[in-house]
Amino acid sequence: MELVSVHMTVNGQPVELQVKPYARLLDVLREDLGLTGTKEGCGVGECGACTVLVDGENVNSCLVLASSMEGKSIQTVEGISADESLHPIQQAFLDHHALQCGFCTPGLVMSVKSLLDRNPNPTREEIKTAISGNLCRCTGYQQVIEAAEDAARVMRGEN
Amino acid sequence: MTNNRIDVLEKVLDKAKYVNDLRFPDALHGAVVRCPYPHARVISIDDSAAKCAEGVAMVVAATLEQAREAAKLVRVEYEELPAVTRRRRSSRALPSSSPMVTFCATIRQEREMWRPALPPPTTF
Repeated sequence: MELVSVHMTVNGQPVELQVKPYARLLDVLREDLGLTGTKEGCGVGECGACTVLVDGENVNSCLVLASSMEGKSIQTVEGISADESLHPIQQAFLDHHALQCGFCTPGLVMSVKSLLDRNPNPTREEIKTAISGNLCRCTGYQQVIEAAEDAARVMRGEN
Repeated sequence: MTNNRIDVLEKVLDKAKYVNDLRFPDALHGAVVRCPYPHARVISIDDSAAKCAEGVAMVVAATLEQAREAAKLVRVEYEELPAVTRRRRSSRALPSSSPMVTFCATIRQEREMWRPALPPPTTF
């Protein structure tokens, strides 16, 4: 089968890959690049576990063709914190007990990040809208919303 | 600082490995051929096409994708059987040979065999 060449930036690193024409961005991240932090929960764009940022926008990577990512800048959950330290959003998730099994967590973190990068002072309603594409069965959303509010405060430099 | 569960740090750093995140370079992959009916008897299975598919050895394959493609090639002949798909009110009795009645009767027989070891059954 003829492979397609894709040049993109992933977590700040330029990457060139030969991918199958029907490969999803999710597959390329998890298999070709070994970035298994992004999860496949449903494969049909319903659960949000596969959420990554493409040029700053949160997308379901299970619905994105890898071959359409030429020239794009991708950020996955592995790329949001410098080395071993926690991003304020990750710290807030810890502090507010916003996870249990943790499978939905990467997706939620990326959706929250996408919001806070664009809107540093969101209302609760705006937070709810931002995470409305992410399903969580263990913990629910209350703690996630509080974590997002807390992270927003920290990222604004207050606290 | 609050007490945290021992596993939340790696989960929030997204370094936690779930089963599907594990990679074994020399692994073979299997895919399940599923029955498209809620209740059926298998009459025959023809896996000759699947065995000839690329990368397939017996019923496992070199990659997950190959395994899934090979599973689609397995031809199974089914005799479709009646299935119970809706609950009925207790005032309407089920026919005595229906699958659900047979199933419940079997369960009761099994419970009788193991009665000394089991707690008393709950009546619904």
